[in-house]
Amino acid sequence: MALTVPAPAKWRFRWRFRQQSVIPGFGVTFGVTVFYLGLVILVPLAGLGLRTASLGWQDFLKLAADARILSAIRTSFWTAFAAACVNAVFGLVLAWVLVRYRFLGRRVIDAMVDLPFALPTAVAGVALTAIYAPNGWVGHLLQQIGLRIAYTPAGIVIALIFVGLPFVVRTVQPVMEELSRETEEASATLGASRLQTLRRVVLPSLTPAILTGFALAFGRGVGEYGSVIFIAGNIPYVSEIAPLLIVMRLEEYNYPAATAIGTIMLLLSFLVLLTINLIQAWSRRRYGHVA
Amino acid sequence: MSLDASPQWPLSAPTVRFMDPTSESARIKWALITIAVLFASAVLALPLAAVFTEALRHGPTAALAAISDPDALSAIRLTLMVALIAVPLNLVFGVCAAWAIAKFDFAGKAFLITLIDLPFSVSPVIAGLVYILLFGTGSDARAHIGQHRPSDSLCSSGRGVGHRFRHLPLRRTRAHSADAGAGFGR
Repeated sequence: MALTVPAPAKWRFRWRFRQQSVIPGFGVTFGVTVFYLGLVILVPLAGLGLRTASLGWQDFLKLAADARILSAIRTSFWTAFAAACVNAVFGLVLAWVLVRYRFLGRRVIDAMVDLPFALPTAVAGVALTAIYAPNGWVGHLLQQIGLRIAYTPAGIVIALIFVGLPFVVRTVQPVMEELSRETEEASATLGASRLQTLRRVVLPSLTPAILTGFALAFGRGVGEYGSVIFIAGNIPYVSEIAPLLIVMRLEEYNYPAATAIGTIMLLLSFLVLLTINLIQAWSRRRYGHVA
Repeated sequence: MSLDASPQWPLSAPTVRFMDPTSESARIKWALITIAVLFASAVLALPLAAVFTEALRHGPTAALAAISDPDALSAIRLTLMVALIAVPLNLVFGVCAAWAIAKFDFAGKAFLITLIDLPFSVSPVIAGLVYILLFGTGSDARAHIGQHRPSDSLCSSGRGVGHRFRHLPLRRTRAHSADAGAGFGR
């Protein structure tokens, strides 16, 4: 019988694909996972890569260097970044309040956090436009002080905050629930003020989760389509997002251009996610594995 | 430092309330709750309210008429049907993936997790694009599949595939958090 006790490192001279375990079902579950992933994710993405490769460098660069495309990509990325920053801060506060405090309406808010997951993005877009349009509930108030949200990049940020919020809250919340009070008590008995405990003990353990939530919200924001197109106004060079440009090119049957924009976006989001993962690896090395 | 300098002790100084060292002062607590509630109302509750107001703007009969429109009914039916195909598939996959990831350690696990998370970070538009490139007219796969499936990317099986792509990581996240929360037979 194989024992679950792992062998000391120096005994493991033979590389093996997986650690010994008495738990059954690895073959089936791993096989199904890889097969399904290949079918649903790898083959389509490989198809995109293949299409891009068939364009050739010259054509690809010519398509990619288009000013309108670059402007749309810039808009997509900075609005997603701004929204993810807002969500990281307020999502953290929201998760903290939901986990640590008991107050009237806590359960309602907890349930409401999932709303952006459940609401179709197009419906969210229409609703947000109705609120922030110049004749909407909030829009006409802002109109009086000369602010415009709908049909500007600010509207895109609002839509992306809505869409990205649950990613941060739902990533941070479980980690916060797992935090042991004992470490905070130990910190307090060692003479740390509450602020010091929060900053030096609690926050470092939450950092990986916050970064993951940020990355998910950001990634979702960059690619968001349904909720944004209604509120953005889609003015070229101002509030036009890259996914919209892909759809427009597709409707013109201009597949090479659509493929080129898609590839640039994929590469950029991959780079951003990679950077965040590297920061996370660094923070894990520094503060120990928590999440 | 003299002993008198510790007024926290509740017996010696009854006017000073004992404060839980792992909690914040009431003022900060209520300030944070206020911020959270205001933010949640502005970001989450307001759009929800707007949806219902917009839907019922012309009265409930108009809303009902809009829902019972043949076009709307057919669209709802298609959406439900596609979800009924995609969700069970993802359920099977999600449970398998969660089991393989949570119970075993194997080479390339982090890579596998990244792949599963990919649909989160890939735009739905790009997902649609790759499926059109793959299954649309004049695409690579159609040459192999043959002419048996007319305009695949437009018919419901195409939508089923698209749905699967979107909901895949969510399934895993949920399975994972259920795993973490309940111990999952550990």
